[in-house]
Amino acid sequence: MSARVFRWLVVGFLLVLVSGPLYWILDTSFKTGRQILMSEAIYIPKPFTIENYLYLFEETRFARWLRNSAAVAVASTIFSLAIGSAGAYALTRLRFPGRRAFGALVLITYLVPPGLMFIPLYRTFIQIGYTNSLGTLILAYPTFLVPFVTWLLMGFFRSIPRELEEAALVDGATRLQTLRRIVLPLAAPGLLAAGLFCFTLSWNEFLYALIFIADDNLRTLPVGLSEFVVSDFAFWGQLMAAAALASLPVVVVYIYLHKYMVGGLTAGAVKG
Amino acid sequence: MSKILAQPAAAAPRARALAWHRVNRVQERLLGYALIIPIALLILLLIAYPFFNAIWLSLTEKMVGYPAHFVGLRNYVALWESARFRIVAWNSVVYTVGSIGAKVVIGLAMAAALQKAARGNQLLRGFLLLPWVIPTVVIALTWRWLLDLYRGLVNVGLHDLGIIGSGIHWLGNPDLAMLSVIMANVWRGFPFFGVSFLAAMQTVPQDLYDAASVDGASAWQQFWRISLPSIKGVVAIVTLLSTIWTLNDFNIVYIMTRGGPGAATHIFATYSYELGIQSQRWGMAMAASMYSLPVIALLIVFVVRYLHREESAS
Amino acid sequence: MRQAPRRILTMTLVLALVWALPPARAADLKLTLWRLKTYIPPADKILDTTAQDCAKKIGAEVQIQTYTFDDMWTKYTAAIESKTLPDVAELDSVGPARLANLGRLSDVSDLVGTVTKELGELAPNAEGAVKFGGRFYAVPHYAIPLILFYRKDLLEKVGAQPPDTWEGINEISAKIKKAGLQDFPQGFPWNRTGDGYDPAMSLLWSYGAAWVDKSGKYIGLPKDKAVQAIKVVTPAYLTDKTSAFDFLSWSGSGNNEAFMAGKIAFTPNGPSILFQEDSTKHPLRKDTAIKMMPRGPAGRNLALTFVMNWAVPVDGKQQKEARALVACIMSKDKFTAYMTGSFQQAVPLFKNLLNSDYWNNADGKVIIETVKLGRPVGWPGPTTPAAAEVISSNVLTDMMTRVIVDKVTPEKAVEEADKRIKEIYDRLPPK
Repeated sequence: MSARVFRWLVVGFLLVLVSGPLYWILDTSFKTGRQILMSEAIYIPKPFTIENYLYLFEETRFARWLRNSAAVAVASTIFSLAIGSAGAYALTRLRFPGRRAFGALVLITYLVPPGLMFIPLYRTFIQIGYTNSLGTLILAYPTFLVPFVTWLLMGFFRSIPRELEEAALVDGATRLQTLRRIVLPLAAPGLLAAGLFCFTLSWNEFLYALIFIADDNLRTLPVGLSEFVVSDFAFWGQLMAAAALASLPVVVVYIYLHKYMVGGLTAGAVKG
Repeated sequence: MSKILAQPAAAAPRARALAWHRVNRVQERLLGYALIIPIALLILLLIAYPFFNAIWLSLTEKMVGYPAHFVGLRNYVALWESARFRIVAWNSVVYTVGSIGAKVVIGLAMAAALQKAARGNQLLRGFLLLPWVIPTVVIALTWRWLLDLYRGLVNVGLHDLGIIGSGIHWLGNPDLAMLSVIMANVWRGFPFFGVSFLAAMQTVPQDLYDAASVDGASAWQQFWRISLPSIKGVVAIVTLLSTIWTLNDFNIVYIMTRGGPGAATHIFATYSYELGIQSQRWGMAMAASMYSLPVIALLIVFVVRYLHREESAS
Repeated sequence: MRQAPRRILTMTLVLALVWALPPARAADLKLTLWRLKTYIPPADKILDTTAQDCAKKIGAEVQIQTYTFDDMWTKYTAAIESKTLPDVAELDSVGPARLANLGRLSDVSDLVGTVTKELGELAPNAEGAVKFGGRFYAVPHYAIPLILFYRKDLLEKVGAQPPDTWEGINEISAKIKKAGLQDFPQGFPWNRTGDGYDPAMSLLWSYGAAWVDKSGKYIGLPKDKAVQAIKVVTPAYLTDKTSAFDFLSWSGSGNNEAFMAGKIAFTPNGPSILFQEDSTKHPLRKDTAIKMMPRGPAGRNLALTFVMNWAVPVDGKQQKEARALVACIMSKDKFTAYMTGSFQQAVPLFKNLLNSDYWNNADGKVIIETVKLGRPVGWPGPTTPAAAEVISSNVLTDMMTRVIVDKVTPEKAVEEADKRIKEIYDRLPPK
């Protein structure tokens, strides 16, 4: 098989693979309940309706979930970026005893995944009496965001030539000043990539949000979505509409900034 | 005497630099510690403490609402002897190996296909990264709906194409159910592999390929002999990371099948959740999760050793 | 970094954190009430309005939160551990036993007395779930019956009478399949939802396979009877092929959808299918009929699984107001309004309203009878935390799926289940 045919086959396969589910989400979201139940007009909605989207805002707490997810995602991102970049800088640029060991420790903590930690972490929050609030999530998410961000940024910091900093230092600047004025601006693409990852991972997080939050008003999108299907009548039309809208913010952000995301993956995987 | 007197004048800037470095080292050390304090606190309070708490819990019988009491390794033994848990452990392996295997293959194919800096490749790469961005909950729900017995796009499409007569029981047949959750996982995860491999491949110098072409090597051979070996390190890291995530994955299985039918798709995280929330037994739930740790630890050791070997070899 | 962006960033962070932090407690009287999100939204609306009105009457505000059958214990687990149970908690049939055993529920015997005066005597079969040690720890709200839905027209087409036994269902399903009318007529899911464990209990009990005695003590799962029961329902999946494997993967709504899409002829469910068909003017409404769940050799011992009860947890600081709220919600006018607006989902457990005209129709009669014959979880004993865990750990339906999915022999599956039940009772001995 020639390389050309192979390439076309692979690209074709991947395009169908990715487009299929996306098409199904949109297709279903514009159908009426009756259409979906009775399997009328499978491939193209007929009649075409936006009632599912309207229902989301009129009858459910969808807007509230959006708000909650946004608040948690933004706060977690900022929090994690701050902590992570500080740590990454220290681990790549500064010399102090225990640096290597601490670096290894940070990366090891990445291996303790939420699927394992949800109960003990929840117990910890209960013990300090801080549960059932969005702040709980904002504190919990960095536990898996920070190690990833640190790893990613370490790769970026390493790619910034030391001479720039050293020149500034010799000129009398303090470390902090070089951090702020030289290193951070140069690492901006990396910070952006890391920020995008944090936002995406927070926006999509499900298990902690399911367990740590009991209050209906504080539900985040993923948990709200999963609720649609457990009642005695799964409203697939509304669910798919909700799915489309829930994906929209991350997809929009990503369309404009995906170059950075790819760059981030690159730096992390190749240099990290 | 004059020589000794002459020295300090020339040595002054150097001595100043040395002194500055000495002070600077202390400053550097302090700043270093200061900057890692936030991470250290986070790790200590919200990762290390809960982790050791988890180990403690796994050695107790703790039911929700009741105080915990120590039972030693009884939970671990009970799980070891439980037929259901053995199925869970096996499922976790199958789920992980199956998903990772598929993702590696698709990732390599994607990287190979998009390697040339052709027009539209960047757009393509961007589009193919979408599954990684979309919320996993959305992906799980969508796949569940795609595989619906009577009305899902897959069965309806296959039927309309004349490929099948009656619907395939994607989520009800135990073997197909495992395949279904793997498919969803692969759909979600392959972009990470593809894009990472692609990025790594693009750092391979073009002259290697040119030289090989001159020598008469086919594109296939070039891929096997040049591209693949060059990105071994990235493949190892990406595979390790993804294995860790997949082994303890929760969302996809929970939303698509809840571990069913029976326990056919139950994996560590979903089983732990069931034990903890439905049966209200936290000690047992932790013991179940802990069983996945040795595998992860082994994997890390293996990969780190492999990477060190590669580094020292090159 | 330059000054302006830095300031904006700080502001954003502060705002995000402030917005996200829990709000300060307001000064007026606020009660929290948790209730089930039922399958009939209009009924939920009535309950919410009632709760709000009742709260106003006692000079308070009520904040209502909902849960589904699926995530009920996720929500309650969190609250139990962090000692933040609501002022008024609607619990399922096993909740009172679990929480009372932990000492977390207030004695509400006086409340039950008050409601009895308005709504009549409490049905004896409803006591097992809420009365422990002679005292009441929850006030029964209503019961959702689990009934057998079937397609009248298909039964007529194959010349069959509505079945009274499990074998009958098997036979008729085979006939329907043979006549080419449906591929998989028998929609019994044996999954980890109520549509699975409720029929499982009815099945086992109707074959005489209860695992406790009258006092609630564990006596062992009668192996022969349990095997006999399993052997009646598993052939549909294994040999007759009148059930599709996909049914095992249904969530709570799967069987509703399949029935209304015309794909199955038999399925166990609450009255919500009738409501959904009525509200969408469904073409199959005229062909949809209901019957009591089948009987077995040991009689018709149906499970009363979907009972909702009002409890007043001790965590709440406003015990008096909480009790007043429950009393008001369960007052004659308010409860009657709820019942008659529930599309036959809310069957009263206090006797008077059972004679109301509302139930005086063909469907209503079946529904009332089903509840009358219902037995509490843990039958023939009272509901205990151990019985609760047997249900919530899905021991019974796992028994079925071990045979159907893992192809284990019924004898082995029963043995495994019995072992699990014994372990649970050892760990949670009835008091």
